[in-house]
Amino acid sequence: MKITKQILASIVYLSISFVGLAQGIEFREGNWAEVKAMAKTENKLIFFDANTSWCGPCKWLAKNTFTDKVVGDFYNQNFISYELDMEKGEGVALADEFKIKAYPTLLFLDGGGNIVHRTAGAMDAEKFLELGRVALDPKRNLAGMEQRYKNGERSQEFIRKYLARLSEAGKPLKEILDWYFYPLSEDDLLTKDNFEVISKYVNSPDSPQFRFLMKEGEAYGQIVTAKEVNDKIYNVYQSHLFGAMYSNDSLKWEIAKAEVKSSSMENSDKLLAYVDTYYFSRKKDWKTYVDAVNHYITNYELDNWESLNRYGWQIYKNTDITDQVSLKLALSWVDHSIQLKNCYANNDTRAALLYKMGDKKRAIKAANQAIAAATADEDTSGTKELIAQMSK
Amino acid sequence: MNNFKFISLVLLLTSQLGLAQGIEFRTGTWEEIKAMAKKENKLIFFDAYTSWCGPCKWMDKNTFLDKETGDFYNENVIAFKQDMEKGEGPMLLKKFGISQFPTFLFIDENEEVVHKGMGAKEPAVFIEFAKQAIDPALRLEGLKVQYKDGDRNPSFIRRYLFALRDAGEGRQEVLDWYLSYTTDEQLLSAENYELIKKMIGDPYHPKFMFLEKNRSTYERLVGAKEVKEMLYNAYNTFLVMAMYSGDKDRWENAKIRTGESGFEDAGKLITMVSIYYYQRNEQWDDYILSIDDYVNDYNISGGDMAYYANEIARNDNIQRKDQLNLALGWINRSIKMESKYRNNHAKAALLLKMGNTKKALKAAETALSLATDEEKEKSWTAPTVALIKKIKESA
Repeated sequence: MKITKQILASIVYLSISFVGLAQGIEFREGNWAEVKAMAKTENKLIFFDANTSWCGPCKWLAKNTFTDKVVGDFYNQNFISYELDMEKGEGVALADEFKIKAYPTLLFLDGGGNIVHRTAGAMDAEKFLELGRVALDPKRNLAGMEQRYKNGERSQEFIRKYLARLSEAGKPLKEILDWYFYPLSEDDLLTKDNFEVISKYVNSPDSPQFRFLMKEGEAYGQIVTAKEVNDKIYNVYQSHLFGAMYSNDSLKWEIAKAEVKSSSMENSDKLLAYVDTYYFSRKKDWKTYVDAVNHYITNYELDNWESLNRYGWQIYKNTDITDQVSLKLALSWVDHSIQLKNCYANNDTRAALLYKMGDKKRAIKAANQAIAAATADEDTSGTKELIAQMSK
Repeated sequence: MNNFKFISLVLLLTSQLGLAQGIEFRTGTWEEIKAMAKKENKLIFFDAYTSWCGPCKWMDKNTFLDKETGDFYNENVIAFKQDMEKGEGPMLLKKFGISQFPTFLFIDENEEVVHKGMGAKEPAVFIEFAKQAIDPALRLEGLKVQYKDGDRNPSFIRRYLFALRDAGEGRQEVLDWYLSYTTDEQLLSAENYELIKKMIGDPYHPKFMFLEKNRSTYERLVGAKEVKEMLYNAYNTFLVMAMYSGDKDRWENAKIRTGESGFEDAGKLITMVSIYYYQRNEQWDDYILSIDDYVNDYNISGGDMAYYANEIARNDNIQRKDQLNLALGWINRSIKMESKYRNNHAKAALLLKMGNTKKALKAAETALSLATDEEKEKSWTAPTVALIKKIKESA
């Protein structure tokens, strides 16, 4: 009887583990040559998840998307799936061969090791299924589009789709974009399709298309929404400013700021104030940094409790900022945040700041208020620890 | 004694003048040449040649000796030439990725190739080529930068396409884009005629068909003779490539495409290339029939008729009397047009093959009597002498 129970248990265990295996993508074992051989034998494409041990989106993808039942069924039926840490063993050479610079890179290859389709980044099950379908379709996958392009296909519609493929695959677009835009008149440019082309691929404020977008912002606002137009403009200038900042070329930085200041962009002051906070933080000029943050949030984020709280927390965490003036300023942001919304997160920041200021008494009080404001699913252990530490 | 001195002085002067005529190529190792270029602040002109390459030799004997070419190159560049199979040749071949001969490179002090061309060129073209190289806006490197910066102006793109073509670099992608936004109306220009002629030249290409369809307009732009020559060369190349491909379907389709083109010389070209096709495939009956068509249907020269008759005479695979008789018909027509050494020799060879030694001997003797001094001097008549010996032996 006892024995029977044990056998029964192991059967149940076996079948559970079997079900567990069948759920989601089954990745094959073996080296690259063996995987290619499997693809040839089974006459399937290889799905290759190129990841690294430290990459967050890779883990997210593995945990959420690859485990999806529908995804598993589809990929197991249609592909030889393979995954590899690109910084270990054979991964290093393959990363070089396939010029992999972003993680995760998702490759689809034939048995000869030729790339048929390629993209990068995490995505949910639905998008990932669509990715697999595109990879299988010679009319839509990267290799098929490249062939059509090579054969001389140049219709605008085709080129727009081709640009999307190249962009997904991380390939350069400028040469094709220059050709695409050249014959287009201003009227041609003022369409939803071409707003999308500009929005997706034009990122230089100096480009004629971006200047056109600035000039015709209102007209584009009628075609799409004003918000989409403004967001695009904001993003272009923002990355332009960050690019100038990271170049460590002070002249470039000043010129970029002057460009933004003199542009007709709606929120240019806000953007400049925002980027200034990064600039002084990068320079470790903490006094000016606090002033810049104060300027930014008191002018543009006063109605945003999360933002107010976030900056307050950053001041608390920053070990280089210890002076009372700065801490008081930060406390004022957090107080305002609590006025807008009394919750655990900002009361906790308040307690932390007060603690850093040396005001234990008020800090303990604030910490207790934080715990009281916490919802059931919020983890308050950090705050409790702080109280315990202060009560010693 | 005095006279002798004078003569040697003249000789010396002339030989020195002779040296100054044409491009003066510097000698030295690659490192030394680079040092010279740096010192004189000039580009290196590098002629990458081999000992067996015909166009390379042609350049040596013609363009490189041209006075104007020499003047321009000597003043503006450090000229250097290297046999790519000797000394530093293989190293330089690898360094600059050279695969054809001659390749002409203009190289700056950082060893960057700034301009490039290949194949033999006439002096005027060759000077123009160097002028492009020394102008940063016109040389290939400059054009590439301009293209990268986004210039897509039609006139610029045409210049860029021709520069890529001269350099033997890929240009399909650029060409496809250029054509994709060039309207039919724009295509009807002398510039675009040149482009279709040199960049396309493929009868299956839609723009080639466009040119054929609008032939009369192009004739007004560039002249009827030019267009006809272009079409002739294009179809000739088209058929010959199909013939050499060894792909029977391709060959049959090429014949159909040419036949349906409406080009006035289509039939002649098909027949002419068919002769080579049948020879290559050793289809001797068809071979002879197509030569016979070619001789009868098209206005070909007596020299060509003699050539084919001679080919039949020396071809051991062809022995049938009726076929040899056909060839004899061609040669008689050729002689009727103009009796010369060559056609009488071919007649003699044919007659001997047919067993008619008497007539063969007579034709051979006529041949010898008609040989020009040049033909005798260069011993081109030796086969006839041998033939006569053979006839006499067999008699």
